[in-house]
Amino acid sequence: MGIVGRGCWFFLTVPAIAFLAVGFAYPLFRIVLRSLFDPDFTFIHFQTVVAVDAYTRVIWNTVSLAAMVTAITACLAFPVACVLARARGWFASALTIGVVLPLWTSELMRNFAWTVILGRRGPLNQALLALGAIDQPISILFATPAVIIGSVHVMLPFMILPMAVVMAGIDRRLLAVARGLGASPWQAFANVFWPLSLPGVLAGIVVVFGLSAGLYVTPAVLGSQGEAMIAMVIDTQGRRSLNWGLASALSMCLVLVTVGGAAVYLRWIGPDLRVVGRSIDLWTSGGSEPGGRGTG
Amino acid sequence: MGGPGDRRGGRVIVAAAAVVVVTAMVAPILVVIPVSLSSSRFVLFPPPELSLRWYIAFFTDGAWLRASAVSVAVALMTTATTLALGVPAAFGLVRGRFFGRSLVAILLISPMMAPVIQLAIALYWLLIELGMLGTLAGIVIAHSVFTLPFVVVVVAASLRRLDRSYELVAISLGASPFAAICYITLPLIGPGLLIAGLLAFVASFNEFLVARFVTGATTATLPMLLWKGMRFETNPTIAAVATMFAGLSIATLVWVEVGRRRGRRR
Repeated sequence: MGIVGRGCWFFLTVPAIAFLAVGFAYPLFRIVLRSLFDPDFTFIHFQTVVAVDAYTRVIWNTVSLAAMVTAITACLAFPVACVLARARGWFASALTIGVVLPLWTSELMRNFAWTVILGRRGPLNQALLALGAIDQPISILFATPAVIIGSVHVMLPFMILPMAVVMAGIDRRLLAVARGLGASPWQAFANVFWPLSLPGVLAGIVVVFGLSAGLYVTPAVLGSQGEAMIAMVIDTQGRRSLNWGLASALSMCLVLVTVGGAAVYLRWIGPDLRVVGRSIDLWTSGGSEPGGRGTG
Repeated sequence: MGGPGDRRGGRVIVAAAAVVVVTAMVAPILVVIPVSLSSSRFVLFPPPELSLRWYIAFFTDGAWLRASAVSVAVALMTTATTLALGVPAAFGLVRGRFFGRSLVAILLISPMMAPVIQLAIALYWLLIELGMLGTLAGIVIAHSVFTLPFVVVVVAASLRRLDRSYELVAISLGASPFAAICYITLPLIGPGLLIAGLLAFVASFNEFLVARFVTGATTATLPMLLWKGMRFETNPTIAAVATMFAGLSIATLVWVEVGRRRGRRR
């Protein structure tokens, strides 16, 4: 259709580009500058991050916690994604709502709920006492295990959705062929299904690792003050201590951690951003059915 | 199926695991319901006696009501702003074939990929520079940066799925391209627009970390009050608020899902 030149469509994106240039790119650029100039060019803030034990420990805490959360989330998400990718009818609807519901409720409220559940007099302790598994209430709250539980809960949808999107696109006949050629169910899974689902698994891992490294609310509500995560330290250094140079340098370190994860991902499987896009699509539950009806 | 192969047993185990995990995802959101109905001053589970006192407390407390009004206003304006910017941008991205298109796509979704704490600092400085820190308009700008990527992605996805021939038929019958888009294309992607709008609304309504940096004393949003309540004066009002919003979220999601299934059957 030559009525509207295809290049003209570009102008429709101009308002959004201008908005994000001013509202996102420019202030982000200022953070980069702020971390390197004070007022002259200096590495002092990055040196502080590397040299001061407290900061290296925070970064290590953040990376190790994010890695643990990512691993646990991946293990829990995999079976859910397998089922979601194949489900039909009301079961699919119920499952989809269950998976995306956490995304539609406030992170604060979900963490509040965990303070109730994990509290000394909460349902978990009551259940364990009733079962006789413990003699007296255990305190899980305000420690690393509580942060991991809360974070995994927050992260599960971000892992399940990309996995389910990729699994839904796997041609099931390949599995049948593998079985027909004499593979055991386990071999068919390990040699056909698993490699084909890998792009979704990796996309989920990158997204979840990046997001959980930047978590603020969950460690603040469920964790202990002693084991702060990087986002909390950035907040304190910036807004409280007005040490914006250091806050900027720390936030650049957080970006490095996140981008590092993404770089590994791109290196491994190439820039398949469609997986991320289709997951968001699914997240709204209004997108293409995980069953792959959408053409993407 | 997912699990080890086609054997019935493996499949049942995988399905059971999935149901357990999804139940564990939903259950914490429902735990707040009994707590909110408690007669006790403290957060107790299960509640000693049932009462609605915390709902009454919410609806008679000026601070909660003002925060609700601010939150709704901010979320509505954010939704309008992001739709106004995001829908044309999605058209441009999907229909256009111009130099640097993938670069534009990356810019438009990049706020989604930056750590939220960094986004918060960036917007904090920007609003100070603009003299808009703590103002409603400032919060709307900040939240629009945050929600724009979601709208672009969702609308672009529904545009990509759309069969363009309806629009081309309208044009060939004499409609201007603009009229064809307004009367044919936009109604056809209506569900996508609705979902994009809902998503922007909910994201803005629940947003905490950016709001923590850019809201002021008179423009505190609900998440700010929830945060204060959780940190300093925990009482079941928080659970009442959480219950009402969880209820709204569930109702919206079920509504969207039912509409989607009905739409497909047609």
